[in-house]
Amino acid sequence: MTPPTTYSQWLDCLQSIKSETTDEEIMLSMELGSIEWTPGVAERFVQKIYETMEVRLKIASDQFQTGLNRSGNDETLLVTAILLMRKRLAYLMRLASLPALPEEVRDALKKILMEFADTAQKSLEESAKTDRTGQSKVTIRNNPITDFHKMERTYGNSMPKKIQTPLKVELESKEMGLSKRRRVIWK
Amino acid sequence: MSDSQISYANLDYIENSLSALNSGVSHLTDQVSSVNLDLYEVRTNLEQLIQEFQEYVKKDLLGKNLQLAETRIVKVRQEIESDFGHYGEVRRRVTGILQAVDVGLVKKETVANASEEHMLSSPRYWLAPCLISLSAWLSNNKELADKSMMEALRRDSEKTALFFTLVTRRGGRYQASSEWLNHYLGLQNPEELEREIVVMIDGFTNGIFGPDARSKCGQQIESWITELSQKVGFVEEQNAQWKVALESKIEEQDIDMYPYLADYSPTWEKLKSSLEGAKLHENIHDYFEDIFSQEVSPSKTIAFAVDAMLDTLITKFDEEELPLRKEERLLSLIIEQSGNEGHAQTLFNNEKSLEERVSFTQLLTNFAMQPEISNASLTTQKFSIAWSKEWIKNAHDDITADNRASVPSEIAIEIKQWNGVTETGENEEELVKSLERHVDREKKLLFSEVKFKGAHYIGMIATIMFIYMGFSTPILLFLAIFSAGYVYLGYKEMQKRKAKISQIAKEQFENDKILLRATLAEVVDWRQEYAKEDANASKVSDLLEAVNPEQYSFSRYGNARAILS
Repeated sequence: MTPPTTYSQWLDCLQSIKSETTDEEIMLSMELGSIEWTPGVAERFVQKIYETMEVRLKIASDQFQTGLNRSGNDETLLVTAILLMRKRLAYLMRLASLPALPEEVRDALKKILMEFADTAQKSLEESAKTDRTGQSKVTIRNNPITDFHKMERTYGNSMPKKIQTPLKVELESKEMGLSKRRRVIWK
Repeated sequence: MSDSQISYANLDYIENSLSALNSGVSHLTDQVSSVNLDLYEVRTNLEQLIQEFQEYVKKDLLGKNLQLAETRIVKVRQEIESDFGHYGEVRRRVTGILQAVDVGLVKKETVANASEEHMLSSPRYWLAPCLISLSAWLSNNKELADKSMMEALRRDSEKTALFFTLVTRRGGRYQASSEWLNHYLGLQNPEELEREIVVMIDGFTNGIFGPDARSKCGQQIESWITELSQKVGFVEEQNAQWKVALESKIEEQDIDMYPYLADYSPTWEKLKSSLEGAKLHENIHDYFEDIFSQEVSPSKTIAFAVDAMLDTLITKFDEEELPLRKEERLLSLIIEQSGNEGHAQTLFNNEKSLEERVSFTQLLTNFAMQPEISNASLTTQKFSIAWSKEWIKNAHDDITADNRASVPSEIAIEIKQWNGVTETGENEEELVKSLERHVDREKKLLFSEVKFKGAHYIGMIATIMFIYMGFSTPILLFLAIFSAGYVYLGYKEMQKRKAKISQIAKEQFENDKILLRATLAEVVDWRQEYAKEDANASKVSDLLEAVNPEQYSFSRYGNARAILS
């Protein structure tokens, strides 16, 4: 996909992000995109970025809530919901860090994300107080939502990935000294 | 000796002349250059000044109209009060007598005496004999009651019939009430109904009438609509009527949302009206939804309900007051429209709520869209919308189709002397290049005006001649140097001017590029907003589809059960 350079192209990208279609591809092109930061365009563009962020945060929040409701007392499901939320926030962090945006805008967007994550974490910890075993609280503390920025680059990557073919995998494995032998588990 | 004297004198003279000529030419060149280069700035400033002046005149005019309307409306209200204030006393007596008799606190003689006095003070007024008839009826004086009733019918048969329909219903005389209602309905022509019929419709929709009267009303309404719908051109007339009514809900677009389009697109007026038309869907939807979501709070008893309707009947529909009421309405519209007399007059002409006689379907439109002016209750408003829903849907569909057809597919952009066209704002790069080419062309045009003047050409010829002659007369070589210097200065001046033109052209391109990009961004946003607003069209149809006329006629105060066949 061609990196966006005009307001119209950027809006198409943001629309795709709002509707959660082809997330990674769009983000990669946006990270390479640029825009003329001029009066009349800048205000509108910032407004659209905020709107996109708001829509995605709402979706993330709703889906997190659904995940929590489904988890019940299951620790694995709870952790899965938290990890999914972190993934979504990490994606939005990439949106907030787009090189096409001026630093002030990037900082403001990042602040919104951090505040959102803080609030969600506090709210989770608060609700975990009702669990008398204390297990939920420990799980939530060990997997805080606020750590989403640490996994920023684990979800997608702005650099194009190497194309992996079966032949390449075999060659790489040989280089690393791995043979194609079957692993036997001794009991 | 003589040679050196001559050359000394000549050199001095030529040097001074050249210097004066050079400074004169430079001055002139500077002036021409300045005039040429500032031409665009002057033109832009002038256009801006004209626009600001026109806006100022417009604002001033609107302000004066508003002030005048505010003063005039006070005078009109005072006039209504002074000319028809004495009717107020008669009007208050009607409900006063009925309520006094309810609680049995006033003597019959007092009631009779008080009523007769008003007959003397209110000549030509239909309510005065009604009041005497009412008091005579309460005092069991049949002869006087009949006599005064006949007089009341002579003065205004329709209002009198409606008045007694309500009074007899209040007293629980179902048979009499039904007969009076029959008499009233018999006087009606569905194509020319009087405004006070809203009281009858209110009585029907609020369940005031007894079972017999209610059934008659329902049948009558159906037969009126059937009769009207058999007329040739009825559907077209309804569409046109409802289109006008629905379009009265159009709100003026805030130009601040798209300032660049407003300034740099000749298509802006079309864009503005298309967007206003698209926003109408939401306005209409909200308007109807608000009506249907409101709960009807019925009066405590039939007496309260009838008294409220009697109040409406006797205070709101007197023809004598109508010219002043119309003026009052027009003035209040001018105030609502912040002094825009033309718009207020159009709205007033479209309203038709203060027309003396209108068709039943027009009445339904008035009840639905202007309940305050036509004095319709919430129930009547709901009932009218429900009965008119097919016409409303058709008119709304027509408005939607017209609006979609009026959306410009191409949006023109005009920045100073440059013109461009876009559809969705996607061709930004192409337009930027076109703008660049335009600025280049202008620059080249200005460059072509920067050339040597006649004096410079003379200087060049003189230089060549002086050099040629200088071989035989070396002193002329000095003159060749001076004239060459003059030509060189001219050349430098040209370079300076060209550099200045290039600088201005570059700045102009950068500024115009910013304006172009901002305008294109607004085009993209405009298209998005239009699509969003236009998508609301289906909401209106869905809302009206769910409405059923039978839901909105009640039998709140009756004991009989309504049987659905």
